[in-house]
Amino acid sequence: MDRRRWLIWLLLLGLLLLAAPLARGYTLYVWALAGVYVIAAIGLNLLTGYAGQISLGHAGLLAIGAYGSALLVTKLGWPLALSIPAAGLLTGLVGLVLLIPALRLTAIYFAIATLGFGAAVAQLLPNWSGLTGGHQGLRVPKMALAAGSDAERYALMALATMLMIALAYNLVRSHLGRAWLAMRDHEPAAQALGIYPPELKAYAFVASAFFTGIAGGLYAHLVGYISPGDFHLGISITLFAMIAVGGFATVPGAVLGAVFLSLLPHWLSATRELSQILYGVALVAVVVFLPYGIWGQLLVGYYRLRFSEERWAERGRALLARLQRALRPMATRLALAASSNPVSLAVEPQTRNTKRSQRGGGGPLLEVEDVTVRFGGLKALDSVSFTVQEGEIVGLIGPNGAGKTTLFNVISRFYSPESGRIVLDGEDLLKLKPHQLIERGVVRTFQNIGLFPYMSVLDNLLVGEHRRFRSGPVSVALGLPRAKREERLFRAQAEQRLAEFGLLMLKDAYVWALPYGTKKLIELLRALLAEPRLLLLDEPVAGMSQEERERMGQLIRRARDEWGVTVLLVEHDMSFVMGLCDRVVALSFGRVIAEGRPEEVAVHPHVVEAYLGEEASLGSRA
Amino acid sequence: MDILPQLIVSGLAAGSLYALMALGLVLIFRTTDIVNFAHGDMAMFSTFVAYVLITAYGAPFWAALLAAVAVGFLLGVFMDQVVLRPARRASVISLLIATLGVALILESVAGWLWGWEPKPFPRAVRGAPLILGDVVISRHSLLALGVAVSCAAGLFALLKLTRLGTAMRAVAQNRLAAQLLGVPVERISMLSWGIGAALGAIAGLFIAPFVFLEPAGFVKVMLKAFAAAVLGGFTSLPGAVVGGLLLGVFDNLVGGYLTTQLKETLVFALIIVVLAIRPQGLLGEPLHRRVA
Repeated sequence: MDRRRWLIWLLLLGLLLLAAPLARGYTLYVWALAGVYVIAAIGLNLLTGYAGQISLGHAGLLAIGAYGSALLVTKLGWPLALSIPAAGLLTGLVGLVLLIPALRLTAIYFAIATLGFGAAVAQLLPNWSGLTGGHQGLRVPKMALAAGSDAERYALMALATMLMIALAYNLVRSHLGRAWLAMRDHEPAAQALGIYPPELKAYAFVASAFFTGIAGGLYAHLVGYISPGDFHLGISITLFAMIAVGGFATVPGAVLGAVFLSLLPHWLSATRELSQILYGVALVAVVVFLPYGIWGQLLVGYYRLRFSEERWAERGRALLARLQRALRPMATRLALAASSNPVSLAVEPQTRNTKRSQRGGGGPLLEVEDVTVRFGGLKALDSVSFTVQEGEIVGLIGPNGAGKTTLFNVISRFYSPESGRIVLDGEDLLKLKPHQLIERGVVRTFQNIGLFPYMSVLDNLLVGEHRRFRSGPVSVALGLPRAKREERLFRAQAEQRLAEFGLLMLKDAYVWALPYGTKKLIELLRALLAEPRLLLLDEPVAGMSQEERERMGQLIRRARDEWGVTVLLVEHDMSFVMGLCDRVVALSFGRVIAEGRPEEVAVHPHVVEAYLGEEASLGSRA
Repeated sequence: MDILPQLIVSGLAAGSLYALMALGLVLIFRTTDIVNFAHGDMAMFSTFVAYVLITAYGAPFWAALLAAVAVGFLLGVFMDQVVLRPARRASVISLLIATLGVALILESVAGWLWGWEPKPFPRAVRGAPLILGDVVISRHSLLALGVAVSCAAGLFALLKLTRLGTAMRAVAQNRLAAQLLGVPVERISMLSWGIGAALGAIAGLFIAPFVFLEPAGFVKVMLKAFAAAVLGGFTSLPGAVVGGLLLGVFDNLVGGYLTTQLKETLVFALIIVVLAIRPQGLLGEPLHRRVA
């Protein structure tokens, strides 16, 4: 696999180099310039496509890279081989400046802030003329091997571009790339799986700025002259157009878009007006006709063909049946693994759940004490208290707006209560952040499915393992053996688990293409694979057929019986709750109105009243 | 002589025009959830139409203003019905791309038709500037201030007092519910775009004499309008006015006391600081994060 990829890379590079003697100097220059755009567009795509942070100010970063390298060479006499990477690193640090607003702002506000960043850099450049040469710009030595011909520069650019593409591939195919996509598409679910957004966003900003800075440095030494006019707002928008046209969150998309849009004006020998109009039309057309971009659309078409809906609906049903048969051996194996040495990995994962107490041993696992949550004037939860014993399945019921999901969000730390305590096996959960819960064995699912639609089933499972990865962004980007080994191990492990569930054939399917019931199932599977002590299920069977509900119920019960998972679930389907739960807690308007065995709670006058209204309950009492 | 009153008054005059641009942006954003990145270029295009009428056909300023308003309105309607309608359900990012695309097209068409070099734009009124104590204000600026204030007042009256305004506010609050109650949401969003773009055109005509008219020149004006809207809260119309005025004054104070060269950089810094303290802007609704 790896060797084949190397071969393809070499072949491509060879082709690019062999094509060179056929072309005129100017054509070579234009293609070399396309390389600059490719690198910058990939950089922007890491941030905008993968991490979901729209930037309209990347020309500013490009400028910092270009001027950074130019100044290191002209003022300090550094060689290009050092100055360009150094400029990349410098730009990477500057990228962190953008992280600050990104952590506080929603997507669109952040986009506006980046627009301001670009404008600010564009204004600083001419005014800091002592350093930047003002509007006159700077003359910079061009890159050269020997004679310094166009062909040489082209070859160097081809090499540099390939190198950067390889780095980008390493990044986006790692746990970091998966975490970026996960965060982009469902941040709460990503957090619940152990991803800490500020950390991952910081990586995305630094990586994106690094790539763009490198592109800037290469630009300076390719053209041999830079001035503030090279880095105006239009460049930021052009870069954005490139990834929009090529396809967000794909590396080939960014490459295609950058090459296409940077060469198009030359092919058409277009004027400034015509090429701008072309860009504009391309942007509008992409939104209307190709919402996923060129490459994205190709991918979508491919998956449509390969996994058509009907085929999956049919398979989904077969799967559920298989899943049940497969569950028993899997559960025993995992229980064994958990009780003895964890999983034997060459890379030492953190020892998990060492505190796991004897299953079925009883004793409170989760204690909710006097929890009050207020939204404005509304008390969403009003001193709610209850406990969940180890090994229990507890149902949380109540009419719409009773505060069930709010309570889930408090336990999983998305909301902070005004007062009260939440204790898990003696530990105060309120001291933790959402991403820390999975380490404590608290795993949740979401009412409207917390899967990441634009990732494969296997990648979705791997996001659940994010916290166990040890390699950092640098070793991942460089593709160090350690990082590769880690990735291979976790991947193999996740595949093995899918196989044990009889789901291996689904591993490459994108989640958006799967039928609803299968999605729900995979979300539960992902939660179970995290080896939870406490599983929080938010409406696990909503929208499912009767048959699917029964199977889901059996699955949950088996998870408890054979694997010792304690379950707290919210569900509207009363027969499901009554049939499955050991105990039921009923909420209404934020208060606990009844608690006890399902059959007791079902006929409790307060519960009847909450569901059917005052009159009905009076009637039933009479 | 103390320059402070002068700086504040000219700041308010400039700020009122930023406010007018920002009002259009916010109006469009509230009713259709779209940030119009073509706002500056739509205003630029309308202003160019007025420019041609004035310089080539000798039209009076007021007639040109009316024509520009009409062109602006039509551009807004075009944007809504032709460009965005097919992509109504697309994501925030796609819609942003579409408006950027239109911005590029308008800019280059303007460059094609009328050339890229900056052109002086005539003032609305000539005559000696008015002097009030320490403060000197040109008749044009005073008129601009008046027009901006009356446009803002007119917009508020429209929203608060008319059936159309009530419908627009309803769509802004809950598009689906408004539709279910029989509000013609398509027409409302079309009108919001038209009115928003027309406000931009008015602002454009009064700003042009200060900045010269050039196809690529209105991006800076739009950045100011964005800054004003973000400062005020982006979801709040009064916020847009407050943001615009504050920005104009801040801009002038920085220019008068600190540096004229780094004005934009400092404006950007101001926005970052404000947003870091109040992510929802000065008068915006607090942002609620919904989980689940």
